[in-house]
Amino acid sequence: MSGATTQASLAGMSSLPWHQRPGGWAIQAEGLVKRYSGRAVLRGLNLHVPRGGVHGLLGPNGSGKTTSIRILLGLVRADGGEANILGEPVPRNLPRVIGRVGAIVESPRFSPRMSGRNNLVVLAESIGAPPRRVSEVLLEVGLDGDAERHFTTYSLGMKQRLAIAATLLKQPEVLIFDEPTNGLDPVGIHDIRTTMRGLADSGRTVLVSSHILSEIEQIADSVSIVADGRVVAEGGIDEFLLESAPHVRIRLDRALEATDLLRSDGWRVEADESGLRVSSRDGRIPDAAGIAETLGRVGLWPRELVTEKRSLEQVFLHLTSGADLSATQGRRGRMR
Amino acid sequence: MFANLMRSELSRLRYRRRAWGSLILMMLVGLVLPSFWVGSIREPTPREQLLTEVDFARMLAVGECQGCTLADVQGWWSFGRAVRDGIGGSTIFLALIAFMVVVAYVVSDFSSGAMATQLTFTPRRSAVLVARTLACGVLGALLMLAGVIATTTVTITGFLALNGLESIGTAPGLLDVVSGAVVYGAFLGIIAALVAFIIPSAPLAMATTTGVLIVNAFVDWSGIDHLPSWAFHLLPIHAGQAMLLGNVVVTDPYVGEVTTVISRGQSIVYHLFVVIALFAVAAVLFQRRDVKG
Repeated sequence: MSGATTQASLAGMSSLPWHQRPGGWAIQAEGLVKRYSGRAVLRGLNLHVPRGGVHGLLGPNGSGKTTSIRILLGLVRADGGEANILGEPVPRNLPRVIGRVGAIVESPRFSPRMSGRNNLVVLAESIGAPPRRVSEVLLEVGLDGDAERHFTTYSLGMKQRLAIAATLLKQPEVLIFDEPTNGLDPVGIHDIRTTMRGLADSGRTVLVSSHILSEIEQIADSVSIVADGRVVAEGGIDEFLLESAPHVRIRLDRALEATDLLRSDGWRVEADESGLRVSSRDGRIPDAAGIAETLGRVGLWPRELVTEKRSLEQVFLHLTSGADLSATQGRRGRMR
Repeated sequence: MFANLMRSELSRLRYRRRAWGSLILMMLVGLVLPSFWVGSIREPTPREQLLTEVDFARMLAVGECQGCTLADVQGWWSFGRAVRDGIGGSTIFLALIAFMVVVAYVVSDFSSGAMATQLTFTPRRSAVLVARTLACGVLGALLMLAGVIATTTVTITGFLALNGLESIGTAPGLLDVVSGAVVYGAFLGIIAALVAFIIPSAPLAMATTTGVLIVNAFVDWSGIDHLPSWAFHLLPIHAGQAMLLGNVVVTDPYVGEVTTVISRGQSIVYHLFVVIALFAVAAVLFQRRDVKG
């Protein structure tokens, strides 16, 4: 998922704001508002999750991620705004679409004194799923050997796997995972990550909410960044990082000559031990192809030219810090 | 969809260890309750019989206990009286335990988050409310049945052991009490579930129920002047006794006059009204409540 994005795809995708891109949305929310005891948790949140792939919902604790998910699932009533899943407005038409949606909200919640299997049996019966489906999903998540044990005896990883098994009972098109790797060890995190990616690769839409950015960066195809009850940025993850990339790094001989040339062309150039860092003075995305052409015209051929993306964590911190939130509002038309 | 949900709720009852544990608890309580009256379920000696007749004659002469019969003043019970006053009377205690068990059963799903999980599968909250409530009615009926059967078994065994195989006869009123207990248990289970949906906190729900019972006791025992007789029809304990025993005679605690009689039919109507009123409140609150788990 990470890696350099070609200039052609960047130009094509970046010209259209994320929320206007063609194709249907698996999940869409506009202007969601929610207050608890007078305190606004959501302040007009707009969310657009494309069909297929993994979409990360990122934000610091208390930003409104879980509240948004609860509103989508009908567990919490919004004080304003609209939302729909697979084209059906929720919560009004949620019963019509819930059979195609699986979800884990925060830590897995089941009847503690019932076995894992019986917890799933009760849920399967409530939706009319055949009994054999319970055994199938338990096998799929690797809990068939522990299915008869009580839920309270399960480790956190096992509880998460049981929750995933529950979501699969319905053979859903959309899966929503809220902080699925919380409290898991590295092996458990890897398993969950692999499972989510596998589900997306099979054609499903996976919305995963997390504050662990490195996890999302590894599996997500697109992200929405939430801060202070609003989505401050949305887009394909590669476009996202590329658009946020502040510089192009160049290694070449005759660095001084190249520096003068690029500066005269309007670029900001800094030299360090890794070569030249070329960034724009006016916030424009550095055009690597254009820079290469400028240098090539005078016979300066770079040994290495790469557009360096900031990590998702760097982008996240940049967008969610208080000073930048107001600046980010102005960029909403471009990046959402 | 509702049929699936109902089947799932009955399965949940079957699989929950708490439900089975509660059944065992009710049976144990039912086994212990007869100890309160086992001393009375024996045939009197000739001397006791004579003394009682003499005392009864004295009471009639001085005007004590107007309307009483010899059976009312003797200290030992016939089997019919053991059924009515012993088994029937103690079933109210079983009912209180059954009520608390059902409240805890429903509230635990809110606090554990299992309700939130269920709603991500079956988001129609009205259907979940109805199915869970009906399942709790089944639970309440089963709890009362377990308790009253245990109480009845001990009572019959004790009576036979003390008075011989010929002492019981046709056991009048026993089936009435047992069936009344099962029906009352069903109503109580439904009411307890609705209370838990309205107040999804076990301590708060129990405290509210206790408050209602205290008010009931105050009104019943305070002998308030000019309290209309229909007010006694609104008291839950009298309504419960009428359901269990077939009817209950409400008397003024100070002058002994009969205030009113509450029949089983009136009790059923009362409980139906209570169920409807609580359901209306529970439906609105549950529909609007944020369920986070």
